[in-house]
Amino acid sequence: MKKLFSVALGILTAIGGFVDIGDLVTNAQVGARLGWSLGLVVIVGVLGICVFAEMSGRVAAVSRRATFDLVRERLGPRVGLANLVASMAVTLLTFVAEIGGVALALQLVSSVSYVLLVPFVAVVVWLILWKARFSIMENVLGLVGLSLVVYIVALVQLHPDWGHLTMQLATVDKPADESWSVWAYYAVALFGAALTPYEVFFFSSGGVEEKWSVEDITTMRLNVFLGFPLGGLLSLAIAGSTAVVFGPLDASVDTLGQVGLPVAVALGKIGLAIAILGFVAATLGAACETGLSTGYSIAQYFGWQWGKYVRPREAARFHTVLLLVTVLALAVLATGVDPILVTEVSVVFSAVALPLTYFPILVVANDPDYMGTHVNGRLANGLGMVYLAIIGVAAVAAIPLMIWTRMGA
Amino acid sequence: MTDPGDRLDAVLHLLDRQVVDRDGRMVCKVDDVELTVGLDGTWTVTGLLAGPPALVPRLGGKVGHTLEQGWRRLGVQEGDRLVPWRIPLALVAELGSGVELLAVRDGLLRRQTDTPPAPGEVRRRLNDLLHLAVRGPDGEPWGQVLDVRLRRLPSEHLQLLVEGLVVGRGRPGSYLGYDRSGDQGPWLLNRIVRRIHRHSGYLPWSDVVGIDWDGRTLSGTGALRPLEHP
Repeated sequence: MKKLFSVALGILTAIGGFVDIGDLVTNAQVGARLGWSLGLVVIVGVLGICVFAEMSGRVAAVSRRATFDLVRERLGPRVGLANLVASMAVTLLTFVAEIGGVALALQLVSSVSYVLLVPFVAVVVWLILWKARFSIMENVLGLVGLSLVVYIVALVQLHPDWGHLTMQLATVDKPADESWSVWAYYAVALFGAALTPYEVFFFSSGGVEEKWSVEDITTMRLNVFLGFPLGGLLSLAIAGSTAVVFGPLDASVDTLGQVGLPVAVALGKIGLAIAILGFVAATLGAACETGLSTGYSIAQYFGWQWGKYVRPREAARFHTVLLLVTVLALAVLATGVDPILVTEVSVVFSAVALPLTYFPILVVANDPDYMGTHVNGRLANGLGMVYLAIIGVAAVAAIPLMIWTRMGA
Repeated sequence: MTDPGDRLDAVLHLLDRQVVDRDGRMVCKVDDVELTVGLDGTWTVTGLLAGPPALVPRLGGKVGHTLEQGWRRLGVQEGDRLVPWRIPLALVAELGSGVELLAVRDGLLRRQTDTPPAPGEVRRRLNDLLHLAVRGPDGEPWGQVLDVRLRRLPSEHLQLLVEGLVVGRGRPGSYLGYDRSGDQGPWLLNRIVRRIHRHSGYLPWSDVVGIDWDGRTLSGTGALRPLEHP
């Protein structure tokens, strides 16, 4: 019974924790402009994060080593350091976007400018990183994040033309007034939003935090293969409901308020309130995860004590990094930069940075010296190689597409 | 005949691993490995080296040089600025995916110069051996040192003896382990990396004739042997 409860809790928090500011904004933008014609990309992206997370989770459970331990061991200190710098730049960008996202969500409720709310949010994030227990942080924010299920209710209430939506999804039928280059740009952005590198840094380090062992592999797989796809359904629901509301208007989504609009149209004030609660929980959860990920990765590269399973005084350097990145994110947001713009940039650069950590994990997941009998099977390696190719293409194409389409303009 | 499980490759299985103390607390990385040349000419691992003075020289190239100068400049008044921390190998309890120590981490790290070698013994770093150019008996280039194979001696404390060298062209991917293992997946990746490293081979330490430290060359005799998993 206790086991069942922990499995259920794990799946629920995986669903609630799947969506972050990148998914919210990108899916809403894509829905408004391209409907469900990029639905297959979401599905490919969700399966990709499942493959990647399962491998890194299994490596963490068997070898008790997290992502950046392995990056340095398999790529050497020189390439490993370049990798760390690039991955941390992207993760910091995401961290800035998430904190900005929390502030934007609170702005919707309070009508106070988000710039004034950012210091408050930064302090809350830092206090959670410093004080809160790992499991409480994960479970509370993950469960409250589940309120984004309101998007599925909203989509049903909006009575969309299901036949048209599924047809769009199945046949990649983009609206005639959008070009294929814009479609490709948003495909890469959606892929980057679904497969953000920090998710795997956090997932594997979290596995070490929670002291996973070989016995926990089944539970981990259930969380990944049930929780993430159900979280992906939320992504599709966000895109679908914005497609219904914004599609006919020919309008684009540029603010978090517009992301919430379809829920308000479908379900009124109560629905909108639940959606905003979901925004706050999802972005706050992701802010904590990205912040921790920077600390985890830097400490893992240099061999410092990291983790919330020890008291902060025993992992002093790790907590110093957490404090510094929070101050840095606060400084960036204090310039008044638009968090939505930061989000758009961060998802594209996520796609660029992904191969840097995917490749070493794929190699170690096959290495019997680390994994014993738990090395990748045929299925994991077949999918692993297919995704190595997809991730490689997305990474190479991302920046040219961004310049070519002027960020989808 | 020793158990094949008693052999390991220093770069693949020891270098850059996480060091944890008796209570599971993290101490440092294995930034480099201390090798001691005994009076009888045998090479053994005698300690693990850590800290920027051990890590930064391994970055190599212009970046490594600039960072090393920068590190020194930030503390020119410190006499031991470029001396790494050292953990004696006798303190190592177990080698796995990490290195487990017998001691507690508080106050554990000492400068390498605090414990000088015995008279007549010479200390080297693993990084000194790596990337040495290797030449055959007629001076023909065989490649460079990519890894150092170690044998665990049967004794109460961990003792590691240098047994041979992995020699190859130094192309990318030599830390991945595919050059030493034909059945490690994914199949396609394995084939590609093994193809890149098809010139790699194994040189037993007994076939090493001499090392010219100034010329950064190592001379071998005989022929390179096929490379197998340790």
